[in-house]
Amino acid sequence: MTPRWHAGVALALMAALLYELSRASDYDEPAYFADVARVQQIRQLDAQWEQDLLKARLNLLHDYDALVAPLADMERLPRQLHQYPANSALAAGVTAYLRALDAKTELVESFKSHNAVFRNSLAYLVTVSNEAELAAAKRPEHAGVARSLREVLLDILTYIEYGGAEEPEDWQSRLSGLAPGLRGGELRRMVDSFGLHASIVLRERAVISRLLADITTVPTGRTLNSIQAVLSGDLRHASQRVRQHRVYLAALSLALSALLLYAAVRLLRSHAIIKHYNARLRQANDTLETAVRLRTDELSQANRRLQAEIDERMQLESRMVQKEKLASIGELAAGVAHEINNPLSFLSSNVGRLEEYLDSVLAILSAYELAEAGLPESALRSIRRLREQAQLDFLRADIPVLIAESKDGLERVAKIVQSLKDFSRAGTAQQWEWADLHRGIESTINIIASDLRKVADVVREYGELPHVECMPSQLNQVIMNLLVNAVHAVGEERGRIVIRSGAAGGEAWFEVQDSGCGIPGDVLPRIFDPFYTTKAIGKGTGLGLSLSYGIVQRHQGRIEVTTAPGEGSTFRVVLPVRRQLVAA
Amino acid sequence: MNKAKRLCWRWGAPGLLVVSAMASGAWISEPILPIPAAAPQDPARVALGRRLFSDRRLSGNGTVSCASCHDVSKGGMDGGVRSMGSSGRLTAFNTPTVLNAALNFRQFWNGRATTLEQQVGMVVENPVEMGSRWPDVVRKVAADSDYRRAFESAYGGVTRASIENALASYERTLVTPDSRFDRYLKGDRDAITVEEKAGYLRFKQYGCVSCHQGVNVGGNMFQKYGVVAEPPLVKGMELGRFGITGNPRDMHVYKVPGLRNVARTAPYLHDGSAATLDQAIDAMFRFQLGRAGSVEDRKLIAAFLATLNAEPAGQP
Repeated sequence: MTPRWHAGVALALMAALLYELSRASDYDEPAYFADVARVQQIRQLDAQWEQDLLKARLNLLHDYDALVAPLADMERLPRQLHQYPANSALAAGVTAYLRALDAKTELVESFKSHNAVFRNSLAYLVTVSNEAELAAAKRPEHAGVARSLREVLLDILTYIEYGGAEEPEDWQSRLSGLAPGLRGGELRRMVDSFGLHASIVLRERAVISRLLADITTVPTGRTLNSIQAVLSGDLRHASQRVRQHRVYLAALSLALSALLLYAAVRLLRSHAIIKHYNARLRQANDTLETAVRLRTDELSQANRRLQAEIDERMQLESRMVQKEKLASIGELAAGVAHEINNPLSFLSSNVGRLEEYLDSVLAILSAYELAEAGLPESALRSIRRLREQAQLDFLRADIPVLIAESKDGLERVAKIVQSLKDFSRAGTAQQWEWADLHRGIESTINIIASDLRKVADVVREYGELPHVECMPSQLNQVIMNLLVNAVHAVGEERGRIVIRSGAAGGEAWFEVQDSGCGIPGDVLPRIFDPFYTTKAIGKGTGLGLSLSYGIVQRHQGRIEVTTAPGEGSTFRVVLPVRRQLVAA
Repeated sequence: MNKAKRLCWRWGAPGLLVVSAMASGAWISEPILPIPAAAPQDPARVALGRRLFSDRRLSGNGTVSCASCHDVSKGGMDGGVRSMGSSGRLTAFNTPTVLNAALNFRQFWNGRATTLEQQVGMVVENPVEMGSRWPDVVRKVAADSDYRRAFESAYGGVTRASIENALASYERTLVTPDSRFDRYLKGDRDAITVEEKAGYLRFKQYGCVSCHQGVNVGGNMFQKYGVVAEPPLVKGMELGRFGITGNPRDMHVYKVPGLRNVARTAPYLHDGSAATLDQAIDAMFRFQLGRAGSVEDRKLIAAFLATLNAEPAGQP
């Protein structure tokens, strides 16, 4: 069932169809009707011919041209029939007809000859009879002869007109009966002539009757019928063939239609198959797309995870670096603190002693002044001069100030040293205890309350916060640092500082949000570096955040910074509620 | 009055018809008819036929042409009892006129040809008459460049059929309409004299018209020569149509000749046995009509027959 097979069958069917069509159209129906018309015309000519023949017989036709005229057509027309002489049956029919026509023509020709003679003799009988009458008018003794002639003429005319079976038998004896009375002479000649022509009339009449009878038996009509039969047979045959062809055509058309239908069904099926495969293809495509999307999602997710890991690792790395930095700085700081601590301690004790000593000196001096009244003027004068030179009063006023300032400076140094110590863990070991962070926050706020109140409104948005296992004083320091930084961040205009807290998932957190200037992007990575500060020299140590960072680290927590330049920063400290003991 | 009117009504119309038919249709019922206008022929073919008609090359030995026996200027025949063919022997019959031959229903005395073409075909190959063979005739005609050109244009070539048709076409122009008698028949009452009218009457009364009728005053039927009395047989004469049909009934049966131009075509009868018209009329009286015609009547009939003379109209 290849397409080639199809095409072959279709071509064969079409060829058969064309062949049948050409065969169906080869019968010429108009030609048939033309032929029938010809046969009909011959029939009419034949009938007209016979009618003219009878007219001639009855003396209604005076010339024979009319009997000749139709012959040419009667001989020509049958030869013009379409199938002549190819169709043998028709040719035989035409031949038979032409033979009959020849026979009839011969008979008609014979009739014409005899009819002419008959007419003449008959006319002459009348003439003779009239002449006899005329003769009898002159010779009364001849009246009987004339009467007899007339009587015989009448008998003969009657016989001719009405066709008696027997011709008047006694006319010859009746005429011969007249003869003895006539010896020669004109009348005798008339009677003889009458007798001659009467016999001619009767003879010709018989011949003519026989000829006419023969003419009617000539089978022109029958042969024409057979020609007609051949024609209608052909027509019947042709129409049968046409019917048959129609059946063939119908069958062929049906076959072609079936083939066409088959082709159409196949086409539809192919179409359906193609459609099916198309649908599947589309489906596969869609699935693929989904798969790709899913895979892409997975990939991007993996990517994101990877990125997060990378970020985390980088963060870890930076923390590690930070830790390392802090560790080395811590060691340095511990060293420095230790070295400074010794001179600091004896400076402190010396200054304290010096103050006591000065107090004692000044007290003695005051006693000496009271004792001046008793002194000689001269002595008094040199004392006074000395006193004025030394500006004793000023001294007396300034010495405590100087001492106080020195003590303050020493305290500050001690404090720095303490911070360094704390930073490098070298400081006093703290005790872990469960503490309320809110209390730590509140006490720290109290410590720097005066600074806070000057620059910002403090808003507290505390959540539920459990007690956290921690080292409270260190955390207080963290809170302090964050608050101090927030105060510094707020800047010239009065700002807003929000303190929030909360707990979630075993972690507690607190945060300090300021409405300050925010942290620029380039600064952000360095904020936890020790000694990094953005404040004016002398204003900050640069250790606040790194100290806080270290403290929070020690608590196994973390500091999260959210900041945007110009929108302030939020520092959140997240701590585990319970300390996790790690293998240190 | 009512009765009279009814009678008029009853008989009037058919009666009037009969009367009018008798009055106006006088010549319509005449047994002789005027020659109608001939069907026009192809002038080129007629010209060819005219030339061929007097071309001796149609005979085997080149001695005779159609015109040798059928002299159109002499009434369409040669005036001889019988004619000398190319063979030097005499023809079987008295030469019939070519004039009005187209009006005959058959050709030859025994009517063996139906058409003029057949007649031509037979005469050419008749050993006594032209003694030729058609292939020779065609070859000889085709050898003539004038003929060849003319036949080429008129027929597409020289063939037996085209030569026959050319001659027949010419002969079809050789009809002689407009004789005085035809003019009389067409209503010119004074076209013929009183005597000639009387002659016509006799022609009819004697029964001549029984055979000599129609357009060609004969030429449309056969008749036995010797209907009433046995004519003397000319020795060596064929037995008429019997020679063709073999039917005893056709013994001495000949085509009735047309009588147009008869006054110019002496001698008469198939065997030329009647040297003059009077003799011919007498022979008819005797052998065909079986009655003795008076001299007076014969003269009148002859006078009438002379009114049938006319020249060929030719073709315009």
